[in-house]
Amino acid sequence: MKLLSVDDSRVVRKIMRGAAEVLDYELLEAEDGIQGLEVMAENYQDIAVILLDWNMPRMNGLEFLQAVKGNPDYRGIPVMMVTTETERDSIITAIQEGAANYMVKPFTMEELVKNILETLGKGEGYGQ
Amino acid sequence: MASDKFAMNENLETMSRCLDNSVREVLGTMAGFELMQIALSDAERSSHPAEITGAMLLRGPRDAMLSISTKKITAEVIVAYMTGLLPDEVDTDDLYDGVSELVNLVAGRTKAQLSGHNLHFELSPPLTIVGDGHFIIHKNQVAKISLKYGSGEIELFIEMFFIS
Amino acid sequence: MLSTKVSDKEFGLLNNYISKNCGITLAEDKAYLIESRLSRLLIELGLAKFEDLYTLLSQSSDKKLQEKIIDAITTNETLWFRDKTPWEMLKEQLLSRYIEEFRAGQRQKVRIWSAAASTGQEAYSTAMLIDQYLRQHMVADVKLGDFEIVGTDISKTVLQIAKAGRYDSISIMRGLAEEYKTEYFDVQGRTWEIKESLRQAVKFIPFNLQESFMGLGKFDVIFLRYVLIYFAEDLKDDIAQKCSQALAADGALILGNSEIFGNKNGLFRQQAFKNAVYYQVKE
Repeated sequence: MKLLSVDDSRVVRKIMRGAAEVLDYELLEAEDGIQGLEVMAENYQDIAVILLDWNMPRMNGLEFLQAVKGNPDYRGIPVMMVTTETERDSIITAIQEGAANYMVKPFTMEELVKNILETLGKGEGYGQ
Repeated sequence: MASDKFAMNENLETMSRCLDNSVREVLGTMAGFELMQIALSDAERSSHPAEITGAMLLRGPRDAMLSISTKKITAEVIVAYMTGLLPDEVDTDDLYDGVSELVNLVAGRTKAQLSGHNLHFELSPPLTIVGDGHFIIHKNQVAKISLKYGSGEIELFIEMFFIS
Repeated sequence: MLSTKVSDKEFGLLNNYISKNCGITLAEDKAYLIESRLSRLLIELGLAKFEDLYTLLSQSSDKKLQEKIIDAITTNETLWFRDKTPWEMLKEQLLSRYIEEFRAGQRQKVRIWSAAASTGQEAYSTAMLIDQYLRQHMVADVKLGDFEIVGTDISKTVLQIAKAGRYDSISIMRGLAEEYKTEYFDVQGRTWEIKESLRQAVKFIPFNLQESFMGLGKFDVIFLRYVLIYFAEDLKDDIAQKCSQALAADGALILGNSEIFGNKNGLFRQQAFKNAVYYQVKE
């Protein structure tokens, strides 16, 4: 199974790769929402979680999230926002658009791995 | 004008504190470095040639440019620790992107903290400036926050130039 | 100061709940991070607004929910061999004493507790240090298995990560000397996996420090590092009390080097080791 990192920073995508490998997942990458949708089209059946930045050129994270949740083939794939945005309005907007989790940059590798596990539904959620 | 200047001074202190928190938190979290603030000399306060700079514009009650400047070798080490690569595995694209992401993270954290003090800013995309011995001059500089950090061989200059 | 988007009343509700039921103090300068950390809980509870979450919390005394809140708002960061002195103390003072006691038949086991173990680096650091010491000093009659190393955390998710013993090269870079990397890890790509013999030497169990410590038994060393900083004074006192009862007569309680414990109601004697302190229970 695979994780998809949609972020315009190659350094952030490298960090995501580290977390993916620790969890035994392959990482797919995209620089922005447009490329993200191209990668989705070819790989959606294998993608377990999408790790999504907000501020990207061409198509930003929110637009990408809306596109994913608007597509019946993709909408079941959990999306975790990974962004510098901390404002409540941004968090609520992302949740309303269907984000499954929201992690703020900067983060430690421990936080990242933990949050990915929880987004995968493999962590200890409330009520589990 | 006097009250505006007063508010500016008060806000400068708040901004300086938030910037300081952000720098130490970002470098601590993403690269594992515990940075200490070091005193700047007068010469350094006026200009300090660098080899690589990450910069971003902040638009808000005052417009400002935030920059993080350092030597290339320092930036390579920081990016290496951010990504888990060895310093000699950090290629040019990683380096330029890493410096850009670093200023993005610091600006993002600073913006978030300032928002709690009712100072709201929007951020431009980050950019990286590369060139041995470069420095940044603002013709219309109104005020400036200058901070210097060190930890062992690491030295970073952080500046926020207010241009309105 | 919290974002103006959250009203004082809402923050008050949240603060009261967290302080009263979780024993955690919210640092105001980190308050702006709280809502992103609570976002997953908001989603799990099927709520649309943070206001609804705060209202729910103020009316709830659900233990599981409290644990989830604590887990969400406390940060996870652990390092290998964090601060030098506790490890030097183990090597230079404690281990030789334990070996003598084993040989004199005065003890059967050494019990070491890594409280707030997070993703396991502290507990595995302990195991590596002990194993290396025994081998370097050619101690054949005392084994790593004679040391019971227990790591606990409120978060079952981080314990899952700890039990797996797999770490990314970013985590590995933080505090792990080359000698330990080569000796105790298998590497595949960017992933470093702790060797099976070390994994077997450490037990990870979920545990909430607000609970009674009675079932855990007595420990020779308690690592309680960089976790008290989150807690309100009365919970700190409660934990100090429980630690004094969980610590063996000549055991050592070790906090983070930058943490101040104070006298803690006369429960502990402060001892110095190099430029750090540790605590022993008063008779």
